[in-house]
Amino acid sequence: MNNSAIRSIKWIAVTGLLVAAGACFSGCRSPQSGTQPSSASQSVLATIKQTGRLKACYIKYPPFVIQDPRSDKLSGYFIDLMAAIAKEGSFTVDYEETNWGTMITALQTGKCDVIVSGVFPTILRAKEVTFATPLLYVGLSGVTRKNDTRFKSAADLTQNGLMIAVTSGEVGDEYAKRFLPDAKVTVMQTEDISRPMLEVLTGRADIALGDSLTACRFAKAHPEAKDVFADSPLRVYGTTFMVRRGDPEWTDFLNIAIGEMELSGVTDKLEAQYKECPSAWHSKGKAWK
Amino acid sequence: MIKVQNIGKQFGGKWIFRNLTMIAKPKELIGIVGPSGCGKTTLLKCINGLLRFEEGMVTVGDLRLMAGSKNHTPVAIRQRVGMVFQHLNLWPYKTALENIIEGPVYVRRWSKKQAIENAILWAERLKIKDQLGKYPQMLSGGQRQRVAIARAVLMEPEFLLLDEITSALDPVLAGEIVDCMVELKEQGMGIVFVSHQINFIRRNADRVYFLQGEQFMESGTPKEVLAEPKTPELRSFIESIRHGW
Amino acid sequence: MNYHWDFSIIWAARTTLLHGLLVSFALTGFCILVGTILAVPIALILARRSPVLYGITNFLVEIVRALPILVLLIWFYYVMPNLLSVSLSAFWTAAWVLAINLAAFAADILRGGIVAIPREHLEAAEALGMSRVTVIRRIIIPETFRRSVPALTAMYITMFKFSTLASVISVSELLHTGDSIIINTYKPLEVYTIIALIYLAVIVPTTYAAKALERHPMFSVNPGDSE
Repeated sequence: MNNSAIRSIKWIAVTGLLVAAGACFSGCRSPQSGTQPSSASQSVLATIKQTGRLKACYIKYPPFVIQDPRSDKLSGYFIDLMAAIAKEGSFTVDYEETNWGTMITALQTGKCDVIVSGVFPTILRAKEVTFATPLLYVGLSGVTRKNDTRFKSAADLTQNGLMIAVTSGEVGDEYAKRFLPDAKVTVMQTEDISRPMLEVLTGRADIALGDSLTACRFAKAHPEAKDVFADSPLRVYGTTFMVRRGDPEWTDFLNIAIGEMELSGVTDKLEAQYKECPSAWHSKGKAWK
Repeated sequence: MIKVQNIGKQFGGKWIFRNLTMIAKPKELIGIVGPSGCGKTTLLKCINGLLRFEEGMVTVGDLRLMAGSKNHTPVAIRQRVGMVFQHLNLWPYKTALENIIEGPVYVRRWSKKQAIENAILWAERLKIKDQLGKYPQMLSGGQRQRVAIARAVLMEPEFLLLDEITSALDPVLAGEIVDCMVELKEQGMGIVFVSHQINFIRRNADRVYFLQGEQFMESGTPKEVLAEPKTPELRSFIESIRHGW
Repeated sequence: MNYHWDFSIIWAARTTLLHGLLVSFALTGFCILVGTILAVPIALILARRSPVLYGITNFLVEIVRALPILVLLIWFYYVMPNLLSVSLSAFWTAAWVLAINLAAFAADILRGGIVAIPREHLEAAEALGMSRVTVIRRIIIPETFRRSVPALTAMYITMFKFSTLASVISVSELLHTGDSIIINTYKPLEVYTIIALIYLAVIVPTTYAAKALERHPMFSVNPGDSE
């Protein structure tokens, strides 16, 4: 196109780009307190003392973290527990949502300073992050179709020809890798920790391994499924808050706070309040038979 | 006055024409004739700067277009010299009215109301008033041609370059357009008319130029050029017109 | 298949789904508006091919086109606040990432539209004495868009579907809302079915409307239509 009309569009184009760049940055806010990533050198505890605010990320996981779909209001065992700690500690909590796949990234990039949900301390995770002391225990169970009678104990998982479904990175996945190395396992890459159970219902897998809370709730929602290890879980996991490594003061504060909440009966009250699927999770001192 | 002085135009190393000199005055109708492909359209486009030329100079009043100069802006010239294209070049996504008022509104900065009023006047003259709301694809060839003419004349140019504008029209319609052009001429416009149609040129032009093989081979009054051709090329051109089609 | 369907949960969650859909619309709307506006000067530069500006612009465009949106989302949401002291909410991060992604692709579509404009249309405008700027404003840009309607519509619809990627940084668009419903009800098949139907209900009429629009003479762009 050698038309003279196009010859000096350069200045229009440059102006346009400058305007566009300006528009780009107009969408950026200057950081407000609570949205700026934490400085690496300072303890979260010190930041809380300075600003009176804690940046927390939550992951929806009823009844530990519940979000009302209409009002977006947060509640649940861990949310209320953190609220009680914050009240005593005179700080407020600013929440942002995250998910199982990005929760470690959220901590490491400083998006938030604590993950508030029922997170299980696994050895792999412990290489990157650390945890407060476990205050609840959740089992590992499995979901099968209702009329499937093959599974009564852990030994039944080693039967030939089984297809086991798990969620990548979650407790079922870890268990299968450690204890069932010869099994045929479908590893689902998804944020939805009940997805493996769907595999079972749709006939693509024989059994789905996952935490007992999800297994129990799923079986309740689907009468055509059953939670096979409800009374005697394959194993038990602790669950608690998750935090960055290298901040012993903050971790220590959380541990003390948790201990205090237990002693003063707050955790008992919360457990009673949010107890659904009672067989699926226990606080300290109330083990499975 | 349009003065074309010794202009030369190359395309891909080959000269289309060289050393052409021509004058067009207000109230004059100049005809340019010649075989197809000899550069008549190219010449028109050099006059209003749509094409750059390699040699010579074009002057329109006090405005000047130099050969090969990088920075000349023919915009001012084009506001004084209108053009109607052989292929009309209407914008298919604008209605006839929108085509016609585009120039006056966005170049002369008339109000839309004023432009529309004037457009309607011209549309009446050219007998396309009922077609103003239609898109070019809905119009006949003759109607489109008149829209193209209206688009150019609404700009009130001092000169009009017309490229084969009667070729798609039946003789009656062509005659009406021609009468229109003559009227414009009498009102003061200068017209440069490229056409195959020798009869029309013979009847209405004040001067004629015959372009073939890079040059104006002959020029003069219609009587001198068309009735009494001097060069064999012009003679055979006139013959071919009479017998060809 | 041993799955008992229960669509009553969908009805119960209708306002939540509607809210998610509105967020998807907001994301897509911003992306389309800003992305298209950004694309215009980029397209003009790419059509012009003046050496330095073209080189830089083309390079940047190719980078954006090469990077998956998911990667851009995570990077801008988690890494950028640490590099520059600038932090956007998840929604605005997603909106800008989608907009920039669209701009890169739309610029190429528009560039194709610009170079396809017949010389005749431009000559007609120039012959009227239009300045270069006016030609760009009155002829090039409008005609480019008219030529680009089919390709741009397809692109816009694609971006609407890509808005689901924002769920990875927890933007409450339709898919993320669906996931929230699933975690409360464990009815993924019902939820995904209704989400698919919602996408169909939005996209199919849009596609037909765009095709009908293309047929209007206002969108005819070929010289043959006006010779």
